[in-house]
Amino acid sequence: MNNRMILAAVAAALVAAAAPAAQAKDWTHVKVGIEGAFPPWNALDPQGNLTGLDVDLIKDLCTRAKVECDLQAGEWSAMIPSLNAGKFDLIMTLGINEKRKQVVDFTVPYASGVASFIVEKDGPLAKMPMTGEKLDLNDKEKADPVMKSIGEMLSGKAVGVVQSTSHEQLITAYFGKDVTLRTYKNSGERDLDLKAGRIDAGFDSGVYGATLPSKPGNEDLTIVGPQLKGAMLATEVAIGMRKGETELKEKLDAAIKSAAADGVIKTLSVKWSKLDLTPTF
Amino acid sequence: MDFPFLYETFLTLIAALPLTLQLAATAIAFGAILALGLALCRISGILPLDWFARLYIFIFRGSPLLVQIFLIYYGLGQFREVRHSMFWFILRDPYWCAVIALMLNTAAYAAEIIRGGLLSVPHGQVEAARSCGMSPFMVFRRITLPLAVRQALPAYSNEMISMVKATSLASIITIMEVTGVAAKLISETFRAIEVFVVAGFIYLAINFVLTRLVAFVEYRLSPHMRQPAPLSAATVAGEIR
Repeated sequence: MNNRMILAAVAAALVAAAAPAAQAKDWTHVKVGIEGAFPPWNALDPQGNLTGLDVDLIKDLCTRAKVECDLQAGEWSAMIPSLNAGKFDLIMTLGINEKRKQVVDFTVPYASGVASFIVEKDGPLAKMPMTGEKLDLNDKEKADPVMKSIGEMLSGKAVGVVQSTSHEQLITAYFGKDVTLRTYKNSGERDLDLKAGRIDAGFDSGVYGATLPSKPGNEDLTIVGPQLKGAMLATEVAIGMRKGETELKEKLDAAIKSAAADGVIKTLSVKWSKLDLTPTF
Repeated sequence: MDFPFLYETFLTLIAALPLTLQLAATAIAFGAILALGLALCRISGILPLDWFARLYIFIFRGSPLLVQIFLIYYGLGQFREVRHSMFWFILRDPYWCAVIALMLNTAAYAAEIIRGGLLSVPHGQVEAARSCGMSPFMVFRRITLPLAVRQALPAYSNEMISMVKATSLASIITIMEVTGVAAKLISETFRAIEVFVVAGFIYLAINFVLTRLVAFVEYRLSPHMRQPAPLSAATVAGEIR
């Protein structure tokens, strides 16, 4: 037997062993991975308990889907690997984009957000164009000139993003070698470096940015530039799951749609972010 | 196994190897100098110096390197006074913050290793050197230090290996050394196993070369442990005549 045949035999045995287990799963108990370092979506309170929009919402969704949910905190860059390794069954706050679709499945979005730049109030980047206005990157005619002028402002500067985010992908795709990209484990560490002046700008979820300056110690930070969506930005926020879990996806899709219809998503997102993030399906 | 992907990953990660080596080499070199100073303080018999070194070693050996890196990089950067001081041009740079943290940490461990080496030098050797009329400094340079280095080398090679691996922690302060690049690759491909296997192999290769180098130095430093080289016919003939 040559190597290829042995490999094929092993693979077949693994599939045979895994397949019945996958079918037999009847989803009464679900492990949900939540980062716990991305307020107001999710955070850890002083007692170490998970809190935030994601937490309130997933509890509601689990009741609607009639499953028992066990929430676990974890590092962001390990979320998708942990999901595919079976440590989690669902992961929260996963923005939908093409690259991620190749490795995981998504529910329908549970929130619709934007992405924007965070800078120091009195720095040179505070004069970025289109501050506070919405800009869809898929509308190339309108968006490309704006992004070009932002690119010129950022040229030679350092921009901080959280690793494994679509924000990282956008900065690389639009500005590439013109900016120095610095990647962090979470938004909080990036903001420390922004305040220390080691980087010139941050790029992050608009919802994270909206609540940021109101927090103690962040008085010098502000949101600038357009509120971006489209292109590779994963602003439509959904729950991620392993590929092929159709039964779980159906349950959660129905739960999200009913929560949106009942106004629960609106109530919770206004409570946590002051913005109505209810998605359209 | 997806060999083209492994090969591509290897090429991407190997590009970050110089940075890993540079971090390790700088930290080990500066750390060794600092460690020698600390070890001398410990055995100096001068109480304030001895206690300073004890306190230093206690702090840096007793707290996690990860915490030290965080404190030096994020902690110091929070103080306005530090940001406006003359040291900021060094502390602003994640590379130098990592070097400083690694250096301060390795110095604490190496100081104790060197102290062990210094204390192991037989008293008779030192007395013999003195009786030849060597000055205390010359005794240290010619007798004590070389013998101490020989004694300390096996334990010190452990410390060097740990330092090579500890450079991977620098990735948490945005340094793109081998582990930092590996984490980036995983975020792009979501293929954690392949990428970490290749990264692990690279560290293994570095440490393989490092242990061979230490073994070579050890061999050169211990001629007394070997059989004397057989006399060649020419020298034998020379002696007879």
